[in-house]
Amino acid sequence: MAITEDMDSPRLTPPDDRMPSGSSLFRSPAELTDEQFDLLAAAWAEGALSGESLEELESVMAASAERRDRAGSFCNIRLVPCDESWPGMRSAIRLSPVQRRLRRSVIPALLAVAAMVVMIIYGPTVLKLKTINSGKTVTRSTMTVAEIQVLPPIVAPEKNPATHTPPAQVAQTPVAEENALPGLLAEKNAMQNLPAEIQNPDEITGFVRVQPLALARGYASVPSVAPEIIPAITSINIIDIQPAQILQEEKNWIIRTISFLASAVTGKEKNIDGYIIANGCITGINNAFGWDMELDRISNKSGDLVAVTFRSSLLSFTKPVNKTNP
Amino acid sequence: MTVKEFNNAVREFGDHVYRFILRSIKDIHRADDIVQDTYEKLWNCVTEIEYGAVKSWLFTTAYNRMIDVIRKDSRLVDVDYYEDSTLYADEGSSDLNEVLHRALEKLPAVHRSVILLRDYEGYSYREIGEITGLSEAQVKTYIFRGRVALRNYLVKTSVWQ
Repeated sequence: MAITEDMDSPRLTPPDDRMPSGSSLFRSPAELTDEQFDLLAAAWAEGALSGESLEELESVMAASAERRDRAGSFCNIRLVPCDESWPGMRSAIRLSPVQRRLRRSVIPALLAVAAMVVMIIYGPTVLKLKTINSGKTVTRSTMTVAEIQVLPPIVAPEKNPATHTPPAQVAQTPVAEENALPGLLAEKNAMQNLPAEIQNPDEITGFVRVQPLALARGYASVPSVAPEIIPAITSINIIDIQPAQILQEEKNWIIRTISFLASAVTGKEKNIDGYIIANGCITGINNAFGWDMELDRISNKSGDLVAVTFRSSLLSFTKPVNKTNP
Repeated sequence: MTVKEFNNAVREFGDHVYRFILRSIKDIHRADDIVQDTYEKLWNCVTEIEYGAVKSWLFTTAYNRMIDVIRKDSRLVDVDYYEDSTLYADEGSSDLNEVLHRALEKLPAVHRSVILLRDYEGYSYREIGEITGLSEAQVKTYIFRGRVALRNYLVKTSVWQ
């Protein structure tokens, strides 16, 4: 070590000493461990190697077939996207002002108009059919014996003309001719074609309760249902003969149509009145616009509607109802 | 960015971001929430972002949100803690892609994310670094180490001999 002449800033100069075994530290590419080679091979498969790194790796692969295969295996490690879809995509779509206006006002209005047109065109026809068919449809193919109830013989009561009406008279139970519909007339005619056992009560030695409508319509006969009972029958009493049901006319046809449509859609008998329609509209408006309106009905002790109450943030009133049916 | 471009971004990149987050976090509901939050943030600053940069912005925001969720759940695996021995063999499968995805679940979150961004979206190392906040060298290291781990998993599961 020598001291320079410049004493103001003395510096150390390195000597020429050499490490005796320095050459033993040199490494060749073939001496790479597997872990080191794997990292290089992964980079090579990614296309991230260049220059001397690439040359060294290629030399190793050229020298060893095993390492060449090992490096080649990295080329196959690629993830392929699966076909998962984002479930919330639809809710993230933003509507433009025009689309929002269209969806909130124009489309519901068009649907309402279309519904009204359908009701006007088909409403009266559907109601007429419903009135004639009187509800449940019974066909020969769907009629089963189980639908005909035959009770076991019971003690025959004293013959009282006031309570025991002969079948012929039952069949001729007064029904206003002006209300007689085709379906009802058909049932009336069928009643006259009852089996002899029923038409001639003197020969019947039992008291049987049958489902009269099925008999009247000719779908079943007493002997076919309970042949063992017939000989013991002393008399027959046909009750519960229900004429074809006529739709009550206390509601207007629009509400009847809505009730019919609601019944058809839900599969249950729906009795819809004006209050239910108005309440449904208010609920829909609340859901659509986030408003908070309420419509309540006020009934008397007997349950009859006497008034309706409307409440909102801007307006509240109570309106007496003059009639219970709209 | 216009509303129309926003909706295009939803349609075009929504599934991509969702897949990336879902594969990273392995939770359908949280992935959905994260992507919803991401697009909500995008909508809040819709006028400030150019459409050309929206994909990178979406992945960056979703990734950061995912890291927050993972940290909150204390499920983040420290990168330094990861060792190759964490991989172990389980039931085999003949579908290579399926096995790779199963192996991916065993990687640390950061490794998983960079590999997904690389393979699913084809991002460059620099772009992945911008999304994840890592340097380019770190991204390379994580990807290479992740690949080696995936390969070792395949060998251990006898998919590759």
